[in-house]
Amino acid sequence: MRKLSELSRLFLNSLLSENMSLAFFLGILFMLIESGTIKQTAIKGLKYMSTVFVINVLGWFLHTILPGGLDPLNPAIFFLTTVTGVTVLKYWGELKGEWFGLPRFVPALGLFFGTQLLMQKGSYTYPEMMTANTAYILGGYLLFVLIAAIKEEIIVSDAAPVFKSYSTLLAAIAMLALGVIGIQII
Amino acid sequence: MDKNLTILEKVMLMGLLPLLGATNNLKQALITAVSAVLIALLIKFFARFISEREDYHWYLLIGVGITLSYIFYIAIIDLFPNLEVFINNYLLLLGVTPLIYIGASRSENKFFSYQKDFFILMIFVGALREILGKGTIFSIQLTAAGYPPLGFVKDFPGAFLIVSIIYLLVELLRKDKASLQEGSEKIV
Repeated sequence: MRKLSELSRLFLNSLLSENMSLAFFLGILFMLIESGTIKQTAIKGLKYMSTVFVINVLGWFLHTILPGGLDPLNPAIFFLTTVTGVTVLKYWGELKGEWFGLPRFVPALGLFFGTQLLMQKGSYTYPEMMTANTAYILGGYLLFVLIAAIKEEIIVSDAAPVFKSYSTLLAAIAMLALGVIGIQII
Repeated sequence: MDKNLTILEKVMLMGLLPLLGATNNLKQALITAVSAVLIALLIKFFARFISEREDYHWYLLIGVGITLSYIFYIAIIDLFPNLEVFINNYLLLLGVTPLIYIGASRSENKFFSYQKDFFILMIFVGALREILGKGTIFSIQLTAAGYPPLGFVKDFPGAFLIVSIIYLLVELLRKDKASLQEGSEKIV
């Protein structure tokens, strides 16, 4: 029973106060630029987040079976799993084209690589890893769709053009982050 | 939203991860900014040997970028152990920050402008967050101890808020200039 409550706490923390995108900023850039309409983003989010879930599990398994002395190889493992994730998403027809002269997958690397680093930092056991990973993915997905909704509202609003920019979107995310801290306090 | 962005706006987007995560205090921002500029220079150097820009060439460059950021992370801790408290995972994550690959881009050729703007922004955001969030600068107490002007700025919502305000200021300044130029054209 005690274990369950610890896992529940880990789940809630990973979902809210330690949300991978709000508290650790992973994938925020990717969410800002990739979010489209809510419907598009909801579908896109499923593809991205399921990929992140799988590569997180893969990265965790690989770095767990690696002997302790080979820890410096962890970034190489996470890089390989990241490339695998990008390849899968490209196969699904995502991350194609360019973004300011860089391939479209470059802004997504922070999300793929960073979440694996976060998992490693947590030194989780298997149940903890699955719990945290599920919460990260769920939190990330909700935030992705929420950002798309805010972006859509900003675009159709009557505000001056200067406010129809990433600054308003970032300010809205700041308010969401404040709300999350508020929930944590409660 | 991605159309007609200035270099400074692109820098804020491309370097968003270190700009939000590695600006808790000025020292941390300074270390991360210097490392990012040096890694970007090395990536630009390596990119000269890669003529094609297929996906696997980019993977190679990203592999180099991640390795370099890891080397910097280890080297700084080894060479300057007293700086360890100012180093966090965002130094490691420089390897996956789009801004450091700008030197390898075919269409963006103002590499040094990007790096200069990023460096200034990091210092500015780091200083602002430390002053407002902790009431210190370079760990020197400026306000009454325990009474920072805006305590929440040192936490993650503050990072978003400060960056959004700076982005808005950049936008406003740019619009002013554009409208001035438009006005002068009309007068002519």
